[in-house]
Amino acid sequence: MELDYDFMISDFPTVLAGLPKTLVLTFWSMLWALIIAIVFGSVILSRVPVAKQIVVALNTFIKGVPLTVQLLFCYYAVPFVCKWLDSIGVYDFNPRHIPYFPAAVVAIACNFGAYITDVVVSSVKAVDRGQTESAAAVGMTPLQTVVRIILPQATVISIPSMTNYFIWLLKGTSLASIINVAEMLITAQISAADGYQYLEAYVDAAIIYWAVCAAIEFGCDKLYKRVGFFMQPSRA
Amino acid sequence: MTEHTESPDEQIVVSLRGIRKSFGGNEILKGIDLDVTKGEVLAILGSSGSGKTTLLRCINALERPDSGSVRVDGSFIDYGGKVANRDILALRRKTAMVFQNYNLFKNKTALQNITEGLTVVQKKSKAEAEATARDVLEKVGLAEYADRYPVQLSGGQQQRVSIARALALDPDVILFDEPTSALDPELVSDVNDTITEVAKTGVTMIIVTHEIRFARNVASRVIFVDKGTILEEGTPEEVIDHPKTERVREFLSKMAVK
Repeated sequence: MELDYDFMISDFPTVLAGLPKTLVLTFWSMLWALIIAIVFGSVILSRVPVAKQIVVALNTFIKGVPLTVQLLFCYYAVPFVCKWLDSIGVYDFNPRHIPYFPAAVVAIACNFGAYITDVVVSSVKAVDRGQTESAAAVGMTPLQTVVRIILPQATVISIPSMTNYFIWLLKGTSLASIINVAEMLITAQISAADGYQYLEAYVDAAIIYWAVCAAIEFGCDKLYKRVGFFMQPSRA
Repeated sequence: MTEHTESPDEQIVVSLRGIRKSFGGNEILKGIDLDVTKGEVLAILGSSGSGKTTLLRCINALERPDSGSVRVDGSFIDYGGKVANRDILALRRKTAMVFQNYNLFKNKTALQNITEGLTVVQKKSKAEAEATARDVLEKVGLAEYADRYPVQLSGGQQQRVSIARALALDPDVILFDEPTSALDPELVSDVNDTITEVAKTGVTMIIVTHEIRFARNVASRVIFVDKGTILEEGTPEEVIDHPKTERVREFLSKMAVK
């Protein structure tokens, strides 16, 4: 079997045209995942009695269900939610244009939000206890301590794990293709359908995914070294 | 247990009464009474596990005693009843602490470590805080290290910044928790010299230490803590040179061998 290199090259721009949608989906999903993670993480860390147990239970549930199942659930739930929003007059529902993109964002954000919650919790816990004591001894309030001392350090500590989840999430958006979101994978699939040149189109997609992820990893590593130097182990 | 006098002697800065503290059923402090007067340098000696660090941490409520009371200047906390967080804050703002592991804020420069408490807690202006910070850094001989982060400083330098941070707060008392025990031996004297210099300025200090010779030099009074009680108390000459109890003699002879 011979790969059709000419097609692979000529199809590259077509597949690449699907990248913006993938990036937009990644952006919104990551943003909401972070918001969910920060809210969940704060509840777990602040040890609010009942809320904590609810969040922990929700967290394990979300992590225990495959992303594919969550996507399909959201896919079939969308029309119901839209009809309800339509009935209360905040949304104009058109059954010909079902908004699958928000459904994908909700599914991906919830799924990754659960994992990133663990990053938030462990990063805050990883801040040296002595830092809190030191702030207390200076006379800072707990809120001042969290905002001025713990969060800046925890943020730096979290960068490497956040980078991993960011990359994982970006690749995870390819699953949104199963619920009709025209991101990069589905663009590749469609472009290949005419001549049945799937292998070539998927290789193009793979190259683009890899390049984007490598760039993100490189950028985050630079960022970590730049803003995080003060958290490195002491040389002295 | 003696009561706090109605109008406390003006000279008394720190006053502890009946401090008890247990960890998991293990009683670490068994009712400690202690008064520290203004300008005094009190050294707390004792073997590991004697409760001396816990005693120090009870003063600024980093450990909350199970019972007893603490007075620092005008701030009073009675652990027999419910303790309000704002009382703890008020009390902590009259004290400063130098930790065994320095505990400088890692995300702040040496200068910012010092200005942080001045601007955030004492609400001083940035300019005033910086002037104070540069002044105290000068005092500990680290003026040119103002913009370094803790990771860029040696252990000894970090501890001196930490002493400067405590000084800048202008507290009623500075608490030292084994300030040199995490340092390389060659750096110990630098830090000890700095503490001695600070002591000469008349700041009230309570120092938990393992170093008998340093305590002998710097302290105006020494207490020896053993099994959660104060076993001996007096001037360095009395406690270190002429201990009354066999327990202290044994401790000192072991320390001397080291």
